[in-house]
Parts: sequence; structure tokens; C-alpha cells
Amino acid sequence: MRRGIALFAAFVLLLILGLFSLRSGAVTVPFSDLWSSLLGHDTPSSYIVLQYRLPRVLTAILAGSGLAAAGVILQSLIRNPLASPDVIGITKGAGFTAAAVIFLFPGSPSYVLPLAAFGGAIAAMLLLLLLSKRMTLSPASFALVGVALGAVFQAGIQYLLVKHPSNINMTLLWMSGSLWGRGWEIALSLLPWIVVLLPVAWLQYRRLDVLQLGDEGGTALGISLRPARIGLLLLAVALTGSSVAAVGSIGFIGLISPHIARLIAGGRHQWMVPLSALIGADLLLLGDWLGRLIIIPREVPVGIMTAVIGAPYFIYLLRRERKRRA
Amino acid sequence: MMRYHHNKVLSFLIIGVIALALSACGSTATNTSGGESTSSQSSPNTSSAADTSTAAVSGPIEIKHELGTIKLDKVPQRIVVMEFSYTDALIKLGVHPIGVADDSDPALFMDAVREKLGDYTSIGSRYEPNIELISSLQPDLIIADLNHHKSVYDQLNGIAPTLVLNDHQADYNGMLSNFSVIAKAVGKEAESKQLIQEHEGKIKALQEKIVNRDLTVLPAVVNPKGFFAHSSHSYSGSFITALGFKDPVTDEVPYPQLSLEQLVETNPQVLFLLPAGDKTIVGEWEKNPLWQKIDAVKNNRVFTVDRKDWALSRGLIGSEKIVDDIVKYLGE
Repeated sequence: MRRGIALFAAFVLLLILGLFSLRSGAVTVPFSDLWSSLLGHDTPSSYIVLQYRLPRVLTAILAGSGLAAAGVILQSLIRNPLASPDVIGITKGAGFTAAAVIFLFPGSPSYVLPLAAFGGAIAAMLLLLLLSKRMTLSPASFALVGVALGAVFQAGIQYLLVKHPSNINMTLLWMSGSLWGRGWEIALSLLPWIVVLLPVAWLQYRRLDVLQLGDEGGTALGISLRPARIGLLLLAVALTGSSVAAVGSIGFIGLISPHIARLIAGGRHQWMVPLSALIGADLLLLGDWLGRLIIIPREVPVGIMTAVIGAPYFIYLLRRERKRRA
Repeated sequence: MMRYHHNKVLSFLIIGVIALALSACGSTATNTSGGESTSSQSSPNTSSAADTSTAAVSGPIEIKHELGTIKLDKVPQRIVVMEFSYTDALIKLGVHPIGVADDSDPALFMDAVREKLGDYTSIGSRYEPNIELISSLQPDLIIADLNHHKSVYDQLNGIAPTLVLNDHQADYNGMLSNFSVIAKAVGKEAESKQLIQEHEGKIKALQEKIVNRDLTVLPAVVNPKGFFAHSSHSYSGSFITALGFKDPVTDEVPYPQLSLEQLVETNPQVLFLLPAGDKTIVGEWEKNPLWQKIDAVKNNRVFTVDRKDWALSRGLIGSEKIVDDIVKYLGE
């Protein structure tokens, strides 16, 4: 019951945040205009609402839920509450290829960047699988190899930054994660990924529950570990890669959303996956909304906002957990 | 075990926060450092557009640009620009933009531009200009940069005809052809030709005043973190060589960062420092005996000029200020 309420509350929050995101910004659109714009009537703010804010809100919801779901999967897979798409190097891989495009091919058409980022995420995963294969794909080796891979990609990014100081701003914006100017093209290319992958992730809830118990538990309960792990990893990478391709490497969402969800709904993935996805979407929307409002006419990139909102809350969560266990 | 975990979490967090802070510093600092970028390639599209600009002036104006073609039925009145060089061009042409991406800092305009600019609406960062505000200004022409704004071209073009030029990578000649394209778009082609002639006259005057131009001249942005030379592949560096001086760096990279040792090795005969911030690395270097080995230092030819004029306002107004500065410091 409580879980149902939490899920419902997170959904209502999503609607409210979405509405406010559509309403306010550098230009405030009165609710009456907002309705008529959404209903297709022509108002002075139709363009801002339909062509600018709506795809942006949609992108935030999709990417936020994608990153959060990927976080849930990875935390169960690696059996470590610190796991997230950043930690195992996937977002860093995407960041590296994205930076390479920005620096080395500045004249490339605008659709190349998301494709490259997605490719980078996949490449990072393949490397991860290849390198941890000999270590039986155990959670610890995943995590360690992932951290090492991430460090290598990070070094690559740093090298590009030092070598080409002229395009640094663009790269830093992409890497902190931004929803600025994300139009229908981006929103609609992300939509099918998330719409398909989120239910698939939810259907894996039993496996996710069992994997959390440890290798022996999993084997005893009749799961063949390797295929299960590879399948789940693929799922997490596809969710992360498509989201990151759309919004840049936003880090914190995938780490914190599962924690909040676990605190509210407990560790059962049947609830955690959807709740965490909703919370991720909420957080990204909130971050973007605030980021657009606090230094008008400029914007604070959403990645920075989510870190600013998320970090203190995360520390609070940890302290609370420590007290409970002490 | 749990405690260990928590410490790990905390240290991760702390590292994260530090990284965040660093990246934030990095972005602001780079804004003021090597920032304004270039390479020698000027777009074939814009130059061809400039060449064909002798076509009819009356009737709708049609201009081919980096990402398409714009058609303007009448001379645009409400113009939004997203780079300082575009503001420079419009002001030179006597046109007042209603919206400018000025990074929310009017102090970044060079004084001569700001005086004439009048009222305008700031649309925020040049990298992520506020599209909502642009839309609310109801412009009839938007001038954007290929590198920074190609990903939002469709959104901008939905608001108003959007002219996309390659400013970020333009050298001096690229700037001139962009100027001609902008002039054509605002229906001031004839004026622009005259202005370019005047501009060339000023350059001739400089060349008459400074007969011996067999000098290596290096402009460089200096900030607390480093010394960023502007080679002949950068905007100001390319202008210096266009004036007849020599580039001591001869680097493919527009803004190579030089250490003091490297600077001594390139040994420029004239040094123009473009400081970003009050204290720069040069303050430290001056105490180093190596600094005295540089020809420019030995001959008292190290000059401090304004970064706004030399590196930000990349247009006719800015480059003429560069000419004035050079004549002031190097003229007999």
C-alpha cells in the first residue's frame, strides 16, 4: 500500500514539475495560455511551449528515468550501493567519444555527437566485458575494471582538453550534462529506447532481487549467472547510452535515485525499478527547472543542478543509514 | 565493514564535489583564457556568398549560409546576434541588434561598440543563448555561429530566419567575408564595400607609418594559469600577419599554451599581452632571469592591450582598434 502511494506520489510530482517547467522560465507563460497552447490553439507563447519547452521536458523525463533505471540495475548487478553508470566507466566512455567529436571534428553535423556518445558507451561496455571475462564476470571485477576503464577514458578526455583549449566550453557543457536546446529530434529519438527498455528492465525484477543475494544464492535459486549478468549489463548500457547521448553525461541521477527509491519502497525490485525511474525523472526535471530560473538569462547546466540538489541529500541519506545501523 | 563503506562513499562524494568545483573553475577560467577560437579555414559557403553579393539588392534577399539558405522579404529590423563579432559588424553598419548574447556581462563589449549599442536585451550565454527569450523578442533575423549553435539550428530557424556563419573558426579573412554576408542580410551591401575600403585605407596608413615590418609579433592572452599565444591560425594572429608582421610561433594550433622556456625559444621581438584578470602568470615570469632573454623584453617592446579589442570584438571596429594600438606602440 505504502509503495503504491509512493509510486503515485512520484508520478503526481512528475506531472506538477512538468507543468511548472512548461510554465516558467525566462518567459513566464500564464496557465491559461499554456492550456490553449497545449490544446493546439495559437497563442503568443505557443512556440516556446510546444517547440522549446515540451520536447525539453520530455527529454528530461526520459533521460532521468533511463539513467535511474540503469543505476538500479547496476547496483544490483555489482551488489554495491555506489555503483552507477559513471562508476563502471560507461558514461566516461561516452564522454570520451563525445569530446573527440567536439575537438577533432568540429565541423561535423549536429547528429554525430549523440551517435558518437552512444557508440562510446557501447565500446566501454565491450571493453569492460572483454577485460572482466577472465575474472568470471564477478561483481568485484566488474566494478574494479569499470573504475579503471573510467580512469583511462577520463585521462583521454583530459588530454583532449589540454591539447585543444579553444573548444573547452562546449565540452564542459556537454560533460556536465545539459538540456539546453533539446528539441523534438532528440526527444523522439530517445523515446523508443526508454519506452521499450524500461518495461524490459522492470520484467527483470526477480533476477535483480536474486542477484543481490550473492553468487551462491543466485546459483542455488537456479539462475545461470553469466548470461543473466551480460543481459542485465547490456540493458543498463543501452539505457545509459541512449540517455547520455541525448543529454550529456549527467552523473548523479543514476546513483541517487535508486537510493531514494530503496529508502521509500525497500529493496524489492518490483517496486524499486519503477519508483526509481520516476524519481530520476523528477530530479532531472527539478534540476532543469531550477537551472533555467536562477540566473536568467543564462542557465545552469542541469548536471550541475542535480549534483547541487543531490549531493547534500545523499550525505543526509548516508548519515541516516549510519545512525540506523549503529 | 559498513564504516569502511561509508568512508568510501564520503570520499567519493568529496572527490565528486571537488571535481565539480574544478570543472566550474575550468569553464569560467577558459572563458577568459584561450577562449576565442579559430583555425585558418574560412568557410567556402560564406565566401562564395560574399562573391555573389553583387546580385540585385531590391526584392527579397537570398543568402546561402553554412546550414542552408535564408530568404528575407524585407530588410530585417529586429535582429538577434550570438557573438561579439556580429555585434561589431552590425554596429559598424549602423544597425542596432535588439538581442545580444553577451554572456550576461556588458563589460565584455569593447568601449566603442558599447557606446553605440544602445538598449538591447541580453539573451545570456554565447554558448547556450536563451532560446525562450529570443522567441519572445520576435526577431526577424538571427545570426548564429556554426560551431556553437548547429544543434539548435532548427529551433532557431523556427523562430526567425537564421543565418549561420562560421565565426568561431574564422581568421581575419573569414571575418571579412562574414562581414560582407551580414551586410548583405541587412541590406547594406553598398555601405559595406565602402567600409571595407576605408578599413583597407587604415591598414595602408599603418603600413606607411611602420615601414619596417620585418618583426616577429606575438599577441597572447595571459591569465593566472598560463600564457596562450595567438598564432597565425587564430584571429588576432592572422590579422597581425595580414598586416605584414611575422608570427614567431608558426604553430598549427590557434592558441598554443607556451611555458616560459618555450616563449624564450620562440623569442618574439614584440609582445602584446591581453590580460584576463588582474594578476597573470607574467607577474611571476618577470622575476625569472629567463624573461630578460626575450628580445621583446630587452628592447622594451612588451605592451599590454585590451583583450576585448584584440580577441573578443572580432570585426572591423575591433581590428581597427588593433591597428591603432599597433601604430601607437610601434609607430616612430
